Amino acid sequence: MIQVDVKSMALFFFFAFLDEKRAIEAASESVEFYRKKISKNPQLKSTVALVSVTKQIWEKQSGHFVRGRPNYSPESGWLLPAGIDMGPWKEFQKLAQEDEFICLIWSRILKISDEDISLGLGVSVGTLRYRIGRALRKLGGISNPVSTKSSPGLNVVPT
Amino acid sequence: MSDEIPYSKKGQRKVSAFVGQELLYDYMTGALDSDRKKAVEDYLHSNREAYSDIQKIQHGMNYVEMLGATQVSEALLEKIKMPTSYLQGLLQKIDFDEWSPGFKLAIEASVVALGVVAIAILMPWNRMTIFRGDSKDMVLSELSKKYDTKSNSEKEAVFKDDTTFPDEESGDHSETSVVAVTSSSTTTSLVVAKSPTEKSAKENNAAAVPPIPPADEDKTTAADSKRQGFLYRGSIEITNVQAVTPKLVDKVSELGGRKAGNVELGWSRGSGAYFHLTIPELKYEELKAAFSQYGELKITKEKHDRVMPEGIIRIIITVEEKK
Repeated sequence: MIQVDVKSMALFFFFAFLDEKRAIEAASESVEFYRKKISKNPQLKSTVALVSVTKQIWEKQSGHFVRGRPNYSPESGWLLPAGIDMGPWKEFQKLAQEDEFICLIWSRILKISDEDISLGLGVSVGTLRYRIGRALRKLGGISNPVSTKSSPGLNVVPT
Repeated sequence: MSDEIPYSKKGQRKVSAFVGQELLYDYMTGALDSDRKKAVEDYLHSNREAYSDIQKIQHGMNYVEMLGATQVSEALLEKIKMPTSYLQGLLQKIDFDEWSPGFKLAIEASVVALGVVAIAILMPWNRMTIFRGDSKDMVLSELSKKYDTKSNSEKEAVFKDDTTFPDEESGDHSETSVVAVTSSSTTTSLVVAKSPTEKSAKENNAAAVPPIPPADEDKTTAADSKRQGFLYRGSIEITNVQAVTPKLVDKVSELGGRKAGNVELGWSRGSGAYFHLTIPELKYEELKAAFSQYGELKITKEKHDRVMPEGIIRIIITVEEKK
């Protein structure tokens, strides 16, 4: 098993739960599921398997989980970038729809391609991008609220 | 007309607000072809809301970009890779998840069955009061019987010193007798039957005819008939029973205790001894103290059909050799 995949699972469940104990439990379970999935089907792309497994474990555990109650400490093993404010993410995790914020984690934090995510989830790329767009709009509103009366003029360069 | 994108035959149709909103993320990530990109830009110039949304998306992307730089410590990665418990590790090793559901069910059922059997074997059922025979007494019927009040010559005391009771431990009950004599004008007597066990049947020889008090003690006996009888049942483990038993017999006799059953006090039963006695209630504590000198005396007070005379109690103590 590649270390990167374990790291991705750890990150996914950390940002999904914001609860270190749950994140470790879920990531450990995912590692076992992931191993079995890959051993059953060696041809399966690792990122597709990762999306599929993390979704499976998330659905299994999120039923007993109340969002909006973060529980982690700086010593927990997740090394956040210096100076980052987790407030917007906590608020977003509490308010956003489930499918929005987990898609956002896969796509923009774990940087898995849209095609692999859509394969892992069994949805179209269009649906996935629609969810990510909605999620980013909500998160952007929380992280840096923008007035609707701001001056017009296009200065955003498409990536 | 040549600059317009031919969205329709008329070439006049523009991107609607709904479609424009949904295309913003694709526009930001450069996923649109040139025609759509231009259409979205036109939409952005004409719609301030859309411009605000695109700024939000940009902020959101910047923020998650920073979150994406989060690292995970090696220690945590190792912790995650390890099975969370011994059981989980064991199940992982034996590929428990791969087993067929029927086989898993059979194993689980076997474990449950073993547990039930273990409980059934290890549970001390005979010590539970609820399973004892004493509680199975039943009143079959109440009979009326009129006694001749004139025959004073038939009056006798209910309990005399030589009153005997059936021994629960000995096999011979043939001589068991209880003097139950009539006299009063009371007309009610009670027939008590026990559950059909051998032991109970033997006791019935004595219990079938309850004592009826003499006429000159009408007040007392009426109260007696309402009283509840009790039997004190005890057990004790003693080292060297054979040597200690004579001392205990002497002590019991000294306290005024007398044999209540057919066997002598301290009747030898295997390696142990058996005491079935009546004793004045006032001497009860002294009796307990006498036995307690040799070991831990466990004694319980049980309800019993037979009502003893005022101030007298009946006790059965089994003495076992200490292991």
